[in-house]
Formats: sequence, C-alpha cells, structure tokens
Amino acid sequence: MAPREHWATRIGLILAMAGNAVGLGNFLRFPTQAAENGGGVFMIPYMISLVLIAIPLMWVEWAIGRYGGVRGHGTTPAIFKLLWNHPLAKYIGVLGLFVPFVVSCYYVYIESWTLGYALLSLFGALPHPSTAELSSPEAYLAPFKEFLSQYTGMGEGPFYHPSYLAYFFFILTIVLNIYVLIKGISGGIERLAKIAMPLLFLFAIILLVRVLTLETPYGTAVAGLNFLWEPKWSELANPKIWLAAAGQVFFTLSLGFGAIITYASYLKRNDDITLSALTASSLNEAAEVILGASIAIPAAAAFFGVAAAQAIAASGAFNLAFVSLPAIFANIPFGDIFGFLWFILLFFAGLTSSVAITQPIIAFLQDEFRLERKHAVLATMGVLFSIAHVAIFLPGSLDEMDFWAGTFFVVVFALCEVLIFFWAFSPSKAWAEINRGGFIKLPRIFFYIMKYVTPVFLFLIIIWWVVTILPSYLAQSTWTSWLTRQLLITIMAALCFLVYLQDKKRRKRK
Amino acid sequence: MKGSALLFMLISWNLISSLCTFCFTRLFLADRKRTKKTGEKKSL
Repeated sequence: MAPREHWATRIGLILAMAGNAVGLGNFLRFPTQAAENGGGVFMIPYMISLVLIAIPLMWVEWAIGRYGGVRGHGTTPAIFKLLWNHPLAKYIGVLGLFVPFVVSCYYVYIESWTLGYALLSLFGALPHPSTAELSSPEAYLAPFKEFLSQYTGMGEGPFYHPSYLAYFFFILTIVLNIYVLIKGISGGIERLAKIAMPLLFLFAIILLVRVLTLETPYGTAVAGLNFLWEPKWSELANPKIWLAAAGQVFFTLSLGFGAIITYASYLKRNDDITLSALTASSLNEAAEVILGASIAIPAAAAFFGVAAAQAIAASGAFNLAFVSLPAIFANIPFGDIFGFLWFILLFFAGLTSSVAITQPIIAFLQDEFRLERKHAVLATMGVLFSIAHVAIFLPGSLDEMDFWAGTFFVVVFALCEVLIFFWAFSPSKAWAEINRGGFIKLPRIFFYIMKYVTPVFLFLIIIWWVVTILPSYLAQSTWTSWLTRQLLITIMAALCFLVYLQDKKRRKRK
Repeated sequence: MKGSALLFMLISWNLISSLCTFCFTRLFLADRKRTKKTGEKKSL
C-alpha cells in the first residue's frame, strides 16, 4: 500500500482549497442574492455571518481533516469514529460522503454546459440577434432562452431531451475530471489549481474592466453598481436578509460538503491551519465580493437598463449566466471572445470545485478499502456518470438533488461537525488541534464562537428551513420528486452499507 | 455613482483586500522565517 499523499506546496493547497470554494455561486448567486436582499446593507449580515459561522467552520473542517489524515483517514465516517467513540458516529459521518457525491452527480452536468457554451461562443455559434430588438429586452433575450432550452432539452414532456452537443460536452467534462483526479493530489488537483485559479482571476479582471466601461443608450455599468450596492436600510430589520446572508457565506465557502475535510487530510501533522484556511477564505471572498459583484449585474444594467436588470436578477442565476450574459456579449465588439472568457471562467470555477467534491468518495475507497487511486477514481466516476443521467433526463431531479444534498444536508452535516469536534471530542483538544503549527494564534474569543455561537446559528438556520421552506416544498412534490428521493435514500443506504462493511473488516483485522 | 452605494462598495472591497493582504504577507513572512530557521529550501 502506497503511503498517503501530501500537498506539494502551501500555495498549491491554498489555491486548491480556494478552487473548491470558488464556484458558479460566486459569480452568479452572490450578486443576485445581494440585489434581492437589501443591496449594500446585505454586506452587514454577510460580514457578521462570515466571522461567526463561515471562518470558524472553515478552521473546524481543516482541523478535523488534518486530525484524520495523520491517522490514515480522509473521510468523516472514520474520522468521526476517531473523534467520538460511539456506534452512531460513523453513520453520521456518511453525510460527508453522501453530500459531495450527490452534488457532484448534477454539478458535473452544469459544469459541462459552461464548457459547451465557452466553445460555442468562441466559434460564434451562439445566437446573434439584431440590436434593433433591444428596445424590448424580452424579445431580444428570446433566442437565447430558446437556445438554452434546446441545448439542455429542458422543455415540456415527461423526460428532458438534451442535445447531442450537451451530451458530448458532458462526457468530455467527465473525462477531464477523471484525468485530473487520476493524476492524484499534488500531480492532478494541485497542478490544476495552480493553473486554473490564476487564469480565473485574470479572466475575471479582464471582464470586469470591459463591463465597467460598457455604455449603451439604455444604461451604464455604474447604474448597475448603484442598483447592487445602494443600501436599503429598512431591509436590515428583516430576518430573511440575515438568513440569506448566512446561507450565502455558508455555500460560498463550500462548508458542510466534506470536501475541505478530505483536502485537509493530506496535510502533515504540524502544517499550519489557521492562516492557510483564512487565506483560502479571503481569496474566495475576493472572487465573490470584488469580482463576482462587478460583472453580471452591472453588465445587465448597462445593456438592458436598471429596471430590466432587476427582473433578470430576480429570474435566477441560470438565466443570468446562460441567457443574459451571452445576449450582452453577442452585440459588443469582440463579444465572442468575451463570451468565451466568461464561460471558461465559470468552467474553471466549476472544474476546481467538481474535483474537490468527487475526492471524498475516492479517498474513502482508497483509505478504507485499500483501492489503488486509479481504480477508486474509475469506480467513483462510473457510478457518478450513471446517476448523473437521472439529473439529465428526469425533470425536476436536479433541483431535488440540490434541495436535499446541496442545501439541507450541508447545514445538518456542518452542525454535526461542530458538535462532534467541539462537544463530543473535547473543546480544549479541539482548540489545541486547530492552533497546532499555526502561523497565527487565534484570539480566544473564537473558542467561544466555535463552541456556542456557530452551532446555535446553524441550528436556527435548520429550524427556520424546516418551518418556512420544507412544508411548501413538500406540497409541490411530483412523481419525479419522489423517484429522486428514492434514489437519494438508495445512495445513502449503499454508503451506510459500505461503511458497515469497512467497520466489520477493520474489527476482523483487529 | 451615488455616495451611499459607493461607500458600501468601497468599504466591502477594502475589508476583503485588507484581509487578503494580511494573509499573504503573514504567509510569506512565516515561510521566510521557517526557511531561515530550518535551512531547507522550501518556498510557498
């Protein structure tokens, strides 16, 4: 059995962690959330949540990962058992496999759209309607909506019928993911992060400069920035804004996905956690607050006017990325190149995240079943490829997977992490584990934040979610929702069975 | 740009940029200190 891999360089680790966090949400979800939730004042609850939930959880996840990695385990079923010697611990840890795996099953498909759109844009194959239709944004956007609908096949009928092109790019994305993952931690994931992350920032800066200099008879980018950042003070008292901000910082840092824990398991015993985790978080925040907020919404405001940009922001992140932005780039000089930069930027953001969320299952097979990396990658990607077809062809399935795995269970899992690490393990040992080898010493106040404030905050989010969102969501269930839920239960049961098998094997060995 | 919107944008950008600068400066300093102490040629 080969020894456990390690990160080759600190900057590689930080970029890989930032790559895991920087995803489509930074460029699409954040600006729409900020625009809909108070504009500039959204940043007040956002920053508070960052300090009270996100960064403390980041340190907790890094510390849990390093603790497990030093003992030969990179995933939570085994690590939770080490932290809390209780029969339930390993089954709670299954969430650390379930969440990233289910999310990766649909995330890779969406990621493939960005690759497809990037190349289609580069070769001028996206629609190019005349600017004469610009007086009516609805009419101007119609060909782009139609194109997306044909590309993904998401129309009426019991099943979706994606285009051959969409399916081809999906397979290509799967192959690219396999290629990176097979090369290993330092040879694949770290090398990808070292190339993709600087390019992502470079492309985003080029787009930012282009967008901020955009001016049409309908508006300017500055008007878009005004719309996005204008503080609506009355909204600050609305609890919805606080929950939206807490949710945003939580998802933007990819907390509760299990991927950070697995990445951190490739650290050495005395490697720094405190400063490295903070640096990775700060890079993600720069990508989100500085770059993410300054591209999509300002571009929409400059091209269609502020009123239309408001409607576009409310229509959701997919519309913004795959309908509005290509529509804007279709009619500016060198628009095809800027369109390519936009989608390839999203593709890099997606690829660095998809390899991260696929890694936990691979690490699980390697660490617990002693599979060679190549076999573990092929087995994981084979199952992922099969299950992704449900999201591709079954209407509503993608949303259902996102609702449970990508929204609900991430918060539940994050709460379990804090409780197991800071309560079941031992608060003082947990604190010492976080600070060991640290380049900066954390202020003691964070001990109390991690022990009391973070779990209470997470618990409140879950309660709010169960009371306000769950009943109306369940009431809208269709037969495809129930079918997807059965699939999710099957995946969970299969993972529990694997954990049971591994535990039985381990006891036999003893 | 409107004053209040500009203020919120600049404060947010400043906070994030300061955090990034602090983190990278401390990382480089810590790395340099360790390289000096251990003599090993391990860069960031």
